[in-house]
Amino acid sequence: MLLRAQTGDPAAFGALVEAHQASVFNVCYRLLGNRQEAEDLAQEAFVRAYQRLYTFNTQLPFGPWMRRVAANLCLNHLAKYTINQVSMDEERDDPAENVLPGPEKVQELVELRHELRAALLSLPPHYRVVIELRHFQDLSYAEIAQALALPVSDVKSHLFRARKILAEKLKAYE
Amino acid sequence: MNNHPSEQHPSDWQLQELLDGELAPPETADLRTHLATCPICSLRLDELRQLFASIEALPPAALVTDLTLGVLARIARGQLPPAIWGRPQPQTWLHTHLILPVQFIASLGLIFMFWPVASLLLRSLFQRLEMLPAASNRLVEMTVFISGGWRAVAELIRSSMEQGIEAALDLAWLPEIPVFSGLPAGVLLAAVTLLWFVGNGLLIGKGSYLRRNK
Repeated sequence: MLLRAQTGDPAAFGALVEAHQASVFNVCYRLLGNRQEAEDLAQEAFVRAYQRLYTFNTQLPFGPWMRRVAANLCLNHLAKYTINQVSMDEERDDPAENVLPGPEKVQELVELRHELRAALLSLPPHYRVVIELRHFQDLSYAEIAQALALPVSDVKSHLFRARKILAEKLKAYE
Repeated sequence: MNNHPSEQHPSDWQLQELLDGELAPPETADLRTHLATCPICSLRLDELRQLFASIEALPPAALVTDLTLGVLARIARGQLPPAIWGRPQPQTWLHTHLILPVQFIASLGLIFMFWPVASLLLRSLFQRLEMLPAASNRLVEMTVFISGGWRAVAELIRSSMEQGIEAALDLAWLPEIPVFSGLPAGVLLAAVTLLWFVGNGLLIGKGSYLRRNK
């Protein structure tokens, strides 16, 4: 599929989009906090990926590369428009994930998630992206540094400060 | 790392590095020894672990719109060159040793084929502008040479069909080679270069070099 897409076959690339759109959308949504914007940027990320598909090593999995493209695109978007969007769209989690018993417990969890998403969105863009790459894409410090073209020391410092802010916000909520 | 809990506690940075799996094995061992005897640091580590778990437990949001059609529509609208155009061409042995020389010879052949007509046009242009008589003379020399070359090839083919290739080669003649200098040589070189570029799709066509770098 990837090889066919690399030769410029749009149908093959369409199949890749279909398979990875949900995870790419989620990267954008976590970083931007707005559904419409996340959908637009996810679409843009696929378009950029199509243009740069020749640079992709087909021996590697497509998903992580695609999500890194999306994360970088969102970071650039955030840097360009400097949106520090604390408010966000009403969360509509994947129904398959909501399988907890007891309405009180569920409500508590929903509120915690809402707070956490808001806290994530209140972080400066660079902090937000390192959290995304470390916790959701499971990249090492060195891989994050490579993806964002930053020194590893900067990655560490962004990551640690971001977590500190998140911990303080969540403590305040509790 | 000191084993005594009260003497030196690890920093938050070290605890985070431990949870991220980024500490070197000796440091990890030291830190774990410390944690085993220090309830304060164990609690700090638990808090961090809980934070990490909360972040990673954020469920994915459901995507309600299919992005596939939108992406494919943008590709189909021709806003993008096909992915393959950006791919650097592999420089194989065949490419460097055969295709490039063949392209060059083919370009030269095309120039020779159209040179007589082109030189007539250039000469009439020079005469009309009353300029460059020397250049005009050289054009004539080159035209005579090229036309003679074509005549020689035609004669060789005709003789080889009538008398066999060996006899034809014995009878073959070559036109006198003029001095390729000045304007005609420049025009010839420019024409070969242009044909070569056009032949490689660098100036024309979808995803060409110029279009991609607009």
